[in-house]
Amino acid sequence: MINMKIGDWLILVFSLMLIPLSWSMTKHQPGTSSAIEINVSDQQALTYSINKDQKINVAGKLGNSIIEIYDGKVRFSHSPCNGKICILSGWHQRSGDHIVCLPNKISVSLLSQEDRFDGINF
Amino acid sequence: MNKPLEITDEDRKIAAFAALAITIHVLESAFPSPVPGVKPGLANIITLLVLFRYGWRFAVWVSLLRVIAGSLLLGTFMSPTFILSLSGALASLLVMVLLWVAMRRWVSLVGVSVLSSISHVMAQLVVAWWLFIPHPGILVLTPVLITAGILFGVFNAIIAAAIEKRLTNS
Repeated sequence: MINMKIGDWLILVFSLMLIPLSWSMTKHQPGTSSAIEINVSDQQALTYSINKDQKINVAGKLGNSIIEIYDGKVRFSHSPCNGKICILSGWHQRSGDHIVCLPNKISVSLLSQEDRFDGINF
Repeated sequence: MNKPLEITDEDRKIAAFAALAITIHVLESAFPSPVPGVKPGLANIITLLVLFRYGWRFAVWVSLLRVIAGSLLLGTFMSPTFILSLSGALASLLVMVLLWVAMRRWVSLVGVSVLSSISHVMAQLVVAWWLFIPHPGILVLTPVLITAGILFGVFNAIIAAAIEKRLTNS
């Protein structure tokens, strides 16, 4: 039906080899974070490694919040605020995520190596 | 002084084939795709046909006219969609012309279609990463798009060859 030349066969064979190659090359690696940054109102930011399990006591505007690092994840485990939104937001581990406690003026950012955007829309 | 622009027979042919390609392009965009970014690119059948019958200059004209006029009709002119479409078209045209001019003796429509389809996809990925989504997550789309590109590349070439056969027989 369709006459193929030698170059067509070559291109076709190499292209078909490209399919499994491209699938195996792009194993999805989620952007995990390696460090967190804690900001308290307008003070200098504090940076901690996320690989060392620890509980950090941070003095905010209302009182002390406890930020817990465990197994590469981070959360607010105690907060003097009323809403407890920061605690309820739970564990975070993706780079670029933020946990913010507005009443106590504390925010935790998960740092990443590269700039991270979900996407840009117009 | 004002010499009327002379319209050659060639111009009319280009316009007619471009109109055909634009129609296919617009119709195709009306169909939803299960995976974002995966499209059969049926308008490329016209480009291939024109390349085969009239040479690469014709193909470049038809393809670029299709991208520009198609985007005007769809309302995507100068939007990211248009930029992606144009970069894909330019890359695939480059590969098409190189193959057709330099390796005409060894390749026919299938090779040209598949290779230009892959270059179309790769150019779009690079431009999308560079301009719109600077996140490695976009790489996850690469195998999907390459696979679809190769399959539709073969598919389009078969259709183009079939049309070509009918045109020569008639």
